[in-house]
This record gives sequence, structure tokens and C-alpha cells, in this order.
Amino acid sequence: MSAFIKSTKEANQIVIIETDGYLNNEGGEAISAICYEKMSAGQNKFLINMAGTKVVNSIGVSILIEIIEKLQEVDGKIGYYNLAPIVSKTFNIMGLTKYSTVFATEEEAVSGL
Amino acid sequence: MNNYFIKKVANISFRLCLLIILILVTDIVKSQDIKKSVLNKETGNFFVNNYSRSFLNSTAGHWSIMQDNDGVIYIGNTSDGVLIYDGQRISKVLSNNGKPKTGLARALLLDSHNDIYTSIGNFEFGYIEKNNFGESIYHSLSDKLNKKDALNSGIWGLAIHHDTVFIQSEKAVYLYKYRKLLKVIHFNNITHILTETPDGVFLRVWDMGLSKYQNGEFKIIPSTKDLFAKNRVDGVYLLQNGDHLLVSRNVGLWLLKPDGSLVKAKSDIIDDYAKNGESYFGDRVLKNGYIPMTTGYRGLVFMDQNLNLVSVLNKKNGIEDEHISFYTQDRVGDIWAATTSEIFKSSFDTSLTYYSTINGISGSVDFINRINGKIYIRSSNDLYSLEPKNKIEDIVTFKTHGLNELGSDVITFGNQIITTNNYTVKSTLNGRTSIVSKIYRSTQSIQSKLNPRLLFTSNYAYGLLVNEFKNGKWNSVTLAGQDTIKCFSLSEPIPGNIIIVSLNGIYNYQYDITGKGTYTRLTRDKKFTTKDFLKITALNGGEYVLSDSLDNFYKIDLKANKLVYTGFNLSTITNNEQWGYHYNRASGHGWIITVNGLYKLKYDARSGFTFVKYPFYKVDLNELSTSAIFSEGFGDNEIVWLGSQDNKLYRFIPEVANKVKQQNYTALIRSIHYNNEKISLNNPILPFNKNNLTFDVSYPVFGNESKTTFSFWLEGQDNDWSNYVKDIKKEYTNLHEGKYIFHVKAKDASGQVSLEQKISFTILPPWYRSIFAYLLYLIFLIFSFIQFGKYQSRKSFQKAENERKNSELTAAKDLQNRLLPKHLPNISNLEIAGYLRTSTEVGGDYYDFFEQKDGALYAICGDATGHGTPSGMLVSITKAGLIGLPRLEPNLMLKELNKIVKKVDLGILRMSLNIAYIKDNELILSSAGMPPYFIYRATKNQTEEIMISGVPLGSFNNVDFDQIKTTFEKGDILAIISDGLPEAPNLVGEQLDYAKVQTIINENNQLSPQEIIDKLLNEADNWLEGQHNPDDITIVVIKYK
Repeated sequence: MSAFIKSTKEANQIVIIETDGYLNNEGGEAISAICYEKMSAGQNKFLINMAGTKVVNSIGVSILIEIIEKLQEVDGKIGYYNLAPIVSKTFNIMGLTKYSTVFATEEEAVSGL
Repeated sequence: MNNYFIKKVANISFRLCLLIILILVTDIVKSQDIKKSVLNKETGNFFVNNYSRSFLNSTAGHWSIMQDNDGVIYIGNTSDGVLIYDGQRISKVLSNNGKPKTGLARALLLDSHNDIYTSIGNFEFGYIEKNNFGESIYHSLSDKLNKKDALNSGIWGLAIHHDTVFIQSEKAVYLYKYRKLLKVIHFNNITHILTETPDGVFLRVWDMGLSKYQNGEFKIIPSTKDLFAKNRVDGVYLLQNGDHLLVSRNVGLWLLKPDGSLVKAKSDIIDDYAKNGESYFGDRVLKNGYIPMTTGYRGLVFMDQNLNLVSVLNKKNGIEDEHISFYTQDRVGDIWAATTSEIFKSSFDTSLTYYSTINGISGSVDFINRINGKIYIRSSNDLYSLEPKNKIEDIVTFKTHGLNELGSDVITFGNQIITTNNYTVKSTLNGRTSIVSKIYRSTQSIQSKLNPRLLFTSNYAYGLLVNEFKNGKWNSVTLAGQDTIKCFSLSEPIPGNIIIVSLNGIYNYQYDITGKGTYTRLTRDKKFTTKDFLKITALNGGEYVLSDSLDNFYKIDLKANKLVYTGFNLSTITNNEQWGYHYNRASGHGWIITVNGLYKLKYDARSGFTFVKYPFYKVDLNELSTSAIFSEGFGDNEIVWLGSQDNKLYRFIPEVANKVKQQNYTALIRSIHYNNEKISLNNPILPFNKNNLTFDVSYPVFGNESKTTFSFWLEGQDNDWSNYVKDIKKEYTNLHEGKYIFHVKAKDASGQVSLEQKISFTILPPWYRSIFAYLLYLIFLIFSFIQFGKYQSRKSFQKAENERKNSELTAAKDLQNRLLPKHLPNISNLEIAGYLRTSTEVGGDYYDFFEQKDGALYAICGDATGHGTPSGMLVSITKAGLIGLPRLEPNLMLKELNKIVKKVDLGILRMSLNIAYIKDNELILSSAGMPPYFIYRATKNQTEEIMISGVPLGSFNNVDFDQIKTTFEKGDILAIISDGLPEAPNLVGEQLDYAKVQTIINENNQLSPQEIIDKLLNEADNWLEGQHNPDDITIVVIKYK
């Protein structure tokens, strides 16, 4: 498992991925690898705890968009919580908030997704 | 006159003539006989070298001596086995185990196969063989005998005849040939002595007599049964007349005639030596026909073929031990003898004998003369006269004359003997010595040729001295101005003219019969040497010449008072070192002794010098006192006397010595070592780690062997022979691989140079320089070349590939640049600037302007995901899309563009794009994943951040994009940026951030768009602190004028 992925767990049939570090090409692919693996196992709800990610770039966001696109095909959802302001701003700029949900906390996310 | 008378007179005259001739011839012969007799009685000591027990490093007691074909001496010792002496070192014969083979070594013999037969130890005999290392190894033969023939006593004697070796034990004789046993002959009685002569092998058997080996057995000679059944036979010799001489300590000398009869030999003297001296052994006759006889108490006795006593070597001759057990004659002709304590060597050469302290001489012998029939020598201590020996067994003695001071020369003055000494000039007459002059530091005296009563003496303290002998007394003659000519030597070429050699030059002293005269300095020839030392020599007895230090010779021209160069020089034989000359009136030639040897010298004023070297080899020439040379006699009786600085006088008979053929012997390479490891002498091939070699050399020429020197040449390394040195080991270190030949030659004390010996050897290269290694190197080299070729090819390919890529990158960059606007739009109310700085060769950012005919403007700023060539491609696609699309509102244009990009499907690549539409005061903004717009409002003097959320192009199908409509007034500034500007990191990873961008725009609102861009870039660069920005930066600034 990539160092970017701090942990994964499941709660209420939601796969929760905790990240740590720069969400760039490698970080994005680490998330997508878990998501695609879980999706092939029937999971379709994912939450990403981004408390440890303070920086994202456009490729990292593009990979998230690709995940969203694939989740749309299986009626799945993805959400994020514990976003740093700059990350939150980037997600907003990049239009992610229109196709996925940003939550404040894990509890809110698990219950709201 | 009638014929009869004439015939009678003629007959008488003829007879008278015959009588006269007969008388004359008789006189001459008698004279020569007398002379010969005197000469024989004056013969000096033979050269004797004693090799003591301590020198031999052995036990006292030696029984046999033998010389092998190399000249090396083997000595049978009483308990240390066989000692080997090669002239430089003593070693021992070894057993097979490498340790010395010890025990009594009774006898030694050499056969024609160079095998040495001997017996070492009890009940044992065998042979000695050299191994590959040059060591002598003993191999037993007796241990292979069967039980019937096994030894049951020690070995008593060995003899060899035509390579058949006879080995005598107490009651048996073993016959071997070339190491193979031929037969064993057993005896009932005890055998006594085994001897060999050229005629056969003899064995005396107790109670039976003397037997001879014939037809495979020892047969008792009948005539010997009575006499020698009980009496010893100590020696058997074959005489030249065919008789066998039998020597017995019991019954004296007997002759065994060829017919088998036995008769008593007539030789009382030798009988006395045999009986009272206890003859011990003898069988071999010397090369000159002399017969040696060893004795137990009277040394080594020599007799001639007529059994006359010729010489005796005993303690008088310097021998330490007169108990002689064995003798042999070496290849030079010298006699080696073994005694109960030591061994010794004697030259037995009558052509060169010597006198020393054992004859009574003391001091350096500096002058020799024969006066009134006696040889006188002046040594540094005294004047001596030679007293001939009365008997052959005696030695010559020298009688002292009690001068007791240093001196130089000895001359006759009438019947007086004048000696010139350091403190005095003395006269000796009839054994009484008186003082002629007491003046100190006289050097030479001569008798006046003008007035024989006058004696002139050179003196370097007071000048020329003149003394007159008158009425039986010596009186001094006072000379005027004598002090001015302090001189060293003088001679009188013409009566009344004395040539004086002084420090100030050469003078002619012309005097009258009173001895008084005047000095005339002789001028020097133009060719005269600058060397001051001059020596007067009377060549041919009367031709006075002077020679300088370079041995140029000058004649004396007394008419012109000049010294004239003769044109002749003697450097070739003198080496410009000291030399001595004496002219022999009897033979008509002179003798010169130089550092190079003794030469017969003739001088002719027209043709110069001719000289012939004589074989004066046995004496160290450096030992000689060159001033002491005297010659007399002629032909084979000519004698040259030479003085030595070492209490010695030599008597040399040159013509006799010249008849002895001189041989050059060969220097030897005895062994080779690497450290302490022995190396084979048979052309060894050595590994490279044994390239430090030591060669042990020797030269078995004996007599003065401590002064033997060696010269070496290692062919393959040295360019030439080395100088002669005393080293008997030659070491070479760190020899390179290759083939070598080691050469050695020797020079004995007399300067005679040996033949050389050489040995080839090979040093193999180290493994890393072997042929195999070079083959590997070649293979490696070829492999390396191939690999290098491949590497070069790969490198070339890579280079070409890089060049191609660079070319493609350059092309891509060019293409990207081409995608950027060539000119900024020229719109009257707008001031526009744009800037793009890529992070890599090909960036992913893009800006563009589409100016509409109605004055509207589309300002585009985009950022493809990532950067590099794929991003550049995406930009190209985007631009193509923009160009192809109709001019719609910005959000609709983005929607259409999204469809295009999505259809192209570039994987995760996305294109963020901002489109701003400006028409007059209307501003419409839309965004697909780009950073917020910044609008500076002049009226509010504030900069607004306008964020429009939207996914990048290519994300989803059928995406609708938001747009914002606002105003754009005079003084307002629109800034569109890519995320490379706000996200530029500093050294700790902190981003410049949007707020900072916003502030800079706000604070620089009065500046032009380009200046604002410059400010932003400057701020970004400062923030980056020199590090590379990971993303492209694009800034578009539009200001409403």
C-alpha cells in the first residue's frame, strides 16, 4: 500500500480512506487503486479523510474526477471530509463539489453520504 | 817453403787452436758449473701455504687429498668426512639427508667419469656425486654388498688403475668400475698397503710379501717373499728406467727390476730419511720426475730418478707439521700434503723461490746488489748478505751487518761496500763498518768516474756531498754553494759531469779531480712535462735518461744543457705507477718490474722500447718494492732478484719459468640461492617470485687466494663486466622476467685472468605478465572494444534519440509558442498583456485572445492537467476547438469544448480553461476548473476574487458551466492566472497563495498590465527562492483605459 494511504476502513458499507500527503498523480492513483479494487468487490461508497493532505494538484483532482465518473456508472458516491481550506478551495474551483460532497467531519460524512 | 813444412805448421797451428778452444770451452763449462753450483746453493724456499685445522674448520688429522677436474681440493679428514676447498670457502661432503657425512675419510680417488671414490666412516665405502645444486653427496657402495663379501673392517687404502678402483680392507680387496662391483678378492692374511703405479697395482700382504695385480688376482712377487714378508713396504714408484723403487722404513730403498729381481738401492741419505724419518707412503712420481716420500718425523722428502736428495720440505721451510701422511700434485704442479694436524701446499718450483724472516730477513727490501760474489740486500732495517746453504736440506740464511738504520742503496767502492743511510754514509770492509759521513738524510752515493777516490752523495737536507778516500781515511770535501742544490738522486753519464735531480730542477755538476765544480741548470724541452718528479735511469747500463711521472723519457744533451724528449713512453706497461729497472750486462738486456708484471726490456735510441712479459705470477705485485730489482747471469741461469716490502726477497729464473706452459683455469659458479633456498645449476627456470638470486663463485687457483678478485656480467641486464672485486657472492635483486646468462671470471693475485664460466637461467613472468595473462588481456581488450563499440553505438543511438526528442520537444515548444497569440489585440479602450512561463520544455498552459469585429474580445487562459508534451497536445486540441467553435457566450463555448475534449479521450488529462468576454463595459466570465478571476475595481479601489466552480474540460459528458456577468469600467483591471502562480512553493513548501496575488494586483493597480505581470512574476520568483517552479505560470492582465 502506498505511503499516501494512511489507512482504510469501512463503516456502514462505506470505504473510508485516510490520506497523508500531496494529492498528486501518485496520491490520486493510490486512492483510485483502492476504490477500483473495492468497486470490483461491490463497494460503491467512498469517503476520503483528507486531514493529512494540505496540497492537491490538477492531476490529483483529475483522477478523483475519473473515480467519480466510474462511480456514476455503478450509482456510487464519493465524499470528503477534514479538508484544508486551500484544498477545499481547489475542489470548489475544479467543480468537484458539484459531483461529490464535502463534509466537515467523519460522522457527518458517514451519515450524510 | 815446401808443402810438407806448410802442412806441418798448419797441423801444429790447428792442434794449438784446438787446444786453446778446448781450454777455453773447459773454462767456460767449469765457470758455468761453478755458477750453477752457487746458484743452487742460493736457491730460496719453495712457496708453502699452510691450511691449518682452524682454517679448515676440522678435526686435526688428514689422510688424503685430491683435486677434481674443476681444480677443487677434497681433503679426507680423520673424523669430519671429506672437506671441500674451492679457494674461497670450505664445505663438506653431505649425506643423502643433506647433513655432513662424518667419520674417517681414509682415501680419495677420481675416475675418468668424475666420480670420486672414498670411504667415510667405519665399515663403509662409496662414491661422491654432485647433485643439481652443486653439492657433493656421498652414496654408499658397501651397503649393497652381499653378506659373504660384507665389510668386516675399516678401509685402509684405495687405488685406481685404468678406471678400475681397488678398495682395500683388512682381508679383502673390492674391485669396482663405474660404480659396479667387478669382484671381491679375499685374503687369509692381513693386507698391509695398496699402491698404484703406471705399471699396475701392488699390494703388500703380511707374512707373504709384495704382490701385483695380474690376470684378475694379486700374485706375490717371488723375490719379495723373504725381505717383505715381515718388513713394511711404504712406497712403490715406477722409475723412468723401468725399475720399481720400493721404500721401506725397515730396510730402506730397494729396486724391483723388470725381470723380477730385487736389489738394494744405493742412497744412504734417502735410506736415512726412510729409516729414521719413518717413511709412510708414496706411489706417484711428480711431473718433473722427482719422487716424493712422506715421513713420519722428517717432512716430505724429494729425490730424483737417481735417488739423489733434491729437497726436503720441513719446518725450516715453514711447514707446521713434519708428520706427512699423504701427498698429491695438483694441476699447476704444486704439491699438496696432508699431515696429522693440517694440510699444506708447496709450489716446488725452482724458477721462483723466496727468502723471508725464516731466512733472517727483516724489513722492507729496498736495494739489491751482488758485491764480491755475494748478494747484498738493503732493507729498511739493515744491510744483509746472503749466505748460501751447505746442504740441500738446509736453507739459505742472511747475515746482518749491523747498520741499524734506514737506508737506500749499496755500492762498491774498490773493495769497500758503501751504504747510503738515513743518518750516515757508511763503509764496510772485511766485516768492519766505519762512518764516511754523518750528515743526515742522504739518499744515494756514486763513485766518481773522473777521480775514483771521490764519493758523491745526494742529500736533500744539505745538498751535494763529496767525500774523498785518501790514505785509508775518508775526508769531506767542502763545496761552495752546496746548500743551493738539495738533491735526491744523481748519476754520472760522462766523467766529470754529474746529473743532479733536485726539487728546483735538473742540474749538471761539472767538477774537477778535487770534486769542486759548478752547477748548470738544464733547460727543459718545449715538450717537457710539467710534472716535477723525475727519475734518472741508466738504460742499457750507460744511456742515461730521465723520466717524468707520465713515463715520458728524455735524453740529456750536455752540450746544449738541455733535456730532449725522446718521443718514447712506457705508460702501456707502467700505468704511470712506480716501477723499477735494472740492466743486466751479462744478458745484454734490462728488466723492469711494474704494476703489470715483470718485463724483459730493451731500449734503442732510434726505435725506443721493446718489452716481453715473463710469467711472474705467484707474487702479489703490490707487495714488491720497485726500487729493489737486480739481475745477473744469462740464459737459463739468468736470475732476477726482487725485493718485497714484506720482509721478503724473491729469486726468479725467468727463462726457466717461461718454459712452463701457463694455463688459464676456469672460475667456478658453485651454487645459486634464492634467500636460503638452493637453486639448480642446470639452466634453471624460475618463477617470478624467485627473482632475487645470489651466485656463489670461486676460483680454485691457490697460493695467494685471499687476493683473488672476481668480475661478473649478467647478460640480459648488465651492459658489461663489473670491476674486479673481492666478493665471492654476487646478488641480483628484482630481476625482470626474461632469459639471462650469468658470467664470472676471476683474477688471481698476480693479475692473471681466468677463463669465464657462465650459466643460463630464465625468470618466468608473473602470472599477470604470462602469455596466458596476455591472452586474457587480449580477449578482455577485444571484449572491451566490442562492449565499447556497443556502448558507443548505444550512446550514439541515445544521443540521436535525445537529439530527436529534443528536436521534437523544440518542435513541440515551437508549436506551443505558435499556439500563443502573435500579437496582442489592439482595442482602443483596453490595455492588454499576456505571459506564459513553462515549467518544462513544453508546458500545459495556454492563453489566447480572439478579437471580434464588433470590438468584443475573448480572453482565454487555460491549463492542461500536468505539463509536458501530452499537455501541449491537449492545448493544441483546445485551441483548435476554440478556433472551430462559433463565438458564443463563454459558458456555452466551454460546454462545446468539453464535448470535443471528452470525445478525444485523453485519459486522466483534463483541460482547465477560463474564458472572459469583454464588450465595452460588459464582462462575462466562465470557468472550467481554473483559479478565480481577479478584478480590480477602480471605483472601489479594491480587487475582487471571482470564483466560478466548474470541472475541467474532458471530465464528464454534457457538463454545464456557470458564468458571471459584470461590469468592466474605466481603470478596472482583469487578471486571469493559472494555478502555477498562486501555488508556487517556497523552500518549505508553502504556497504563494491567492491572497498574495490579489494584494499585488491591488497594490499595483496604477501600473500597466505588463508591469503588473512583472510584479507578479517578481514576487513569485522571490517566493520560489531560486528553486524550480513545478508548474507553468500564465498571467493575462487586461486593463480598461
